[in-house]
Amino acid sequence: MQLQKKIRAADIENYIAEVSVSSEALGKLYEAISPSVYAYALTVTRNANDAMDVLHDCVVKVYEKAPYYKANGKPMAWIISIAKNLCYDKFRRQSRFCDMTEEQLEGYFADNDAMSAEDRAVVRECLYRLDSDERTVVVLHAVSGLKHIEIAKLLQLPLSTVLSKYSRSIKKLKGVLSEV
Amino acid sequence: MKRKINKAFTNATPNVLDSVSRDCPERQSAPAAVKARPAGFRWKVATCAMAVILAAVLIIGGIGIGGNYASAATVSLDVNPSVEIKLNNRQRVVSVTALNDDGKIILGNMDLKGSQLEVAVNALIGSMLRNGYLSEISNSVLVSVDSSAAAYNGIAQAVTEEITVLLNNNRISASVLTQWIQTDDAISALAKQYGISVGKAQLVYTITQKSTLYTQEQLVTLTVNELGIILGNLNIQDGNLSHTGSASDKAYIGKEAALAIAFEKMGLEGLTESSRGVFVKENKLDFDDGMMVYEIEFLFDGGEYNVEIDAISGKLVAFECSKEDDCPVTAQLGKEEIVSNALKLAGAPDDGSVQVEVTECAHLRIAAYSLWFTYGGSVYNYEIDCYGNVLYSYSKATGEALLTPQQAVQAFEQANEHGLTSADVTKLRVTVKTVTSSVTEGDTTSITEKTAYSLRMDKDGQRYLYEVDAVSGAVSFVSASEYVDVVQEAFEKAYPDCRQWQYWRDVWYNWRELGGRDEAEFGGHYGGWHGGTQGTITQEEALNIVLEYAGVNRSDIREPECELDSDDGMRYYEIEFKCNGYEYEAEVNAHTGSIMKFEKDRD
Repeated sequence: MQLQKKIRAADIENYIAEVSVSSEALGKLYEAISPSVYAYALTVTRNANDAMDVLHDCVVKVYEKAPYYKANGKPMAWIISIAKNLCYDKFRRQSRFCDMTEEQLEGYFADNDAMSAEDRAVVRECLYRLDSDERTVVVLHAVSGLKHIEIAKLLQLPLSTVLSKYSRSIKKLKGVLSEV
Repeated sequence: MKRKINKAFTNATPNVLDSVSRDCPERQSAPAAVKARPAGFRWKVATCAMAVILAAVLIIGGIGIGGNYASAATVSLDVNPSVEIKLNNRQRVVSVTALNDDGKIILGNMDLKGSQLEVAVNALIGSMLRNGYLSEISNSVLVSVDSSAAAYNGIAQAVTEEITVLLNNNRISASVLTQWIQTDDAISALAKQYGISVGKAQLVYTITQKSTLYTQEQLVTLTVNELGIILGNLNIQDGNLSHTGSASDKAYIGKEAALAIAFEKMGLEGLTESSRGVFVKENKLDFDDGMMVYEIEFLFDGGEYNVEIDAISGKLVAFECSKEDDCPVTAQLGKEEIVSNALKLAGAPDDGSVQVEVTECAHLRIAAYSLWFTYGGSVYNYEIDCYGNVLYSYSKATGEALLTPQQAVQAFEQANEHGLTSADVTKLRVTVKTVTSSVTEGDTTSITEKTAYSLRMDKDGQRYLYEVDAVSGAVSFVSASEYVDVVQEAFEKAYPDCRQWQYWRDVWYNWRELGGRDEAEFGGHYGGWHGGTQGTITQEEALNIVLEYAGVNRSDIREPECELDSDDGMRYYEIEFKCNGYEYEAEVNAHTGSIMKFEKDRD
């Protein structure tokens, strides 16, 4: 997987409709939504194993709830809210998230052949140079493709705050990554 | 930078499709019957039509979800069957136990160990549906959660959702009562004494703590559905107890049938809730004296009725009726009687010697008489309605010959002010009054009084006031202003010629004082002014109002949404649309068309 090609909302809704009647489309649905869900979960948990659990449970839940999904042109908002609730459930069950350190995360991704050195740096800087809201906003926009207003609704932040956090975060990342 | 972030996280995403596939039951067509599969797979019960139950338990090892099988939480389900699910700290089932004989039937040979909580709940509720414990008639499930405070909300929400979805799939509206179990000696003792689950005991305990209408002995015998009906009536505010949906009342005769029986038993056969003169204050299903009854309160013809009807058999259980002596509805007087009353008020003899000019008038749409006469050097003017209420009185000693009210009206008609016709003149309210005027010249202010007729009429939303000098007949214009008595209008629609307007107006004000706000609740008596969508602007009109305000054209907008909502009796439209890179949201008052909220954000 190189770059998640731009997945249209309509495509995701089609996949959701397909999996509600047949499990054959599960692979297509997974490919379309897994980077967004994993990226979001990673920014919330900062633990690659917990994020993987959330990814697994989220896709299963989306599959289960697919027959009841009402198409409204915003499937990612729906899916991310499922992921958000799963993260919270995990947090409540564990009483906290066990953040991985930078070194632990580096070690974890070192075995991932799909990731270049630049990829590892980007993920590292996102998770450890930005605060919690900043990294969530960046990932939801850059990976999940959510609009700023949708992110504002999901995170219950004012739109202006989301916009400023996003632009500030991009500046920060540009600054640190230019030194990489 | 956006591209780099996207690429980096995409490449970081692990591939767990295989384990996801294992946990997703195969679908070949509609998500209906689940086929039995060999051990190692886990299946979900999806609809009531299914005949196959969960078969196996999956232990997920690939992702390192290991096993701590010590119980971290307990979830009990009570319908009439009672089962208890113990969970580990990963919300996987450790064990499921039947707490009564019906529970054993439900559980059967199911082995739910290791399943996710939702899967277990799905299987158990599915079994209750198949075995007839849950149906349209009995739709209530009591979910009792014994867990840490932090875990309660998540568990309660997950279970409630699972039950609601499954029952909805079977075309049943679910009623789910959830409560957080707190260990309490009194509750444990109650459970043990009556041989009921701790969950049911806590619910009974909670109800009897909040309401003195019931005893524990009465409530322990009731089903969860019946307890749900009681809970719905009480509107209990308790942070540890919540209720979604409504307990089914389909096992009973129904509110309408009960009301018809109540009318019949009170000798008012043929009346309905929307009959004129009827106001139903309450009609609710409740538990009283060991039985489910409909408690009905209504007003009719000056009487207040309280009736109880057996909810199953329809028999009359109890009733009470009281009539108010001073209710204007029944005391309707004739013209002669009203004249007598007026003469009596003035101390004048009622022997025909006093010439009384009587005019029928509409005082606030109540049939009334305007009486004018002179006696003992004074002029008297009364307005008395057909119930004997004195609406207006005036008397003044005068030495001058005064115009009669009829002569004053004639003078007005001749003046033909504002193009008002004789049809409008019939709506006149003509009253005699003293008009005081003051004139200041230099340091001197002189005050003069004169007797005049005040003429008031309403036409096309305007109220006109004139004065006619009672001596000279000179007509002078006082004012014309916008006037809409909306309450009067509403009742006029319902009772255009009914003499009960005043009575219903008083009922209305009393109802408002008692907190009544939802005009639709006031039923057909309100003339459709606020009830339903009558008297509201259309969706299209609301949208056009917002477009005009926003300065955008209809042809330029995308994804328009318009929904009618209500808040505290006031209806309004919620409108959203996108245009030229902006997202617009607005709320429009559905009655007046005024914009209550407007937001414009970047899309």
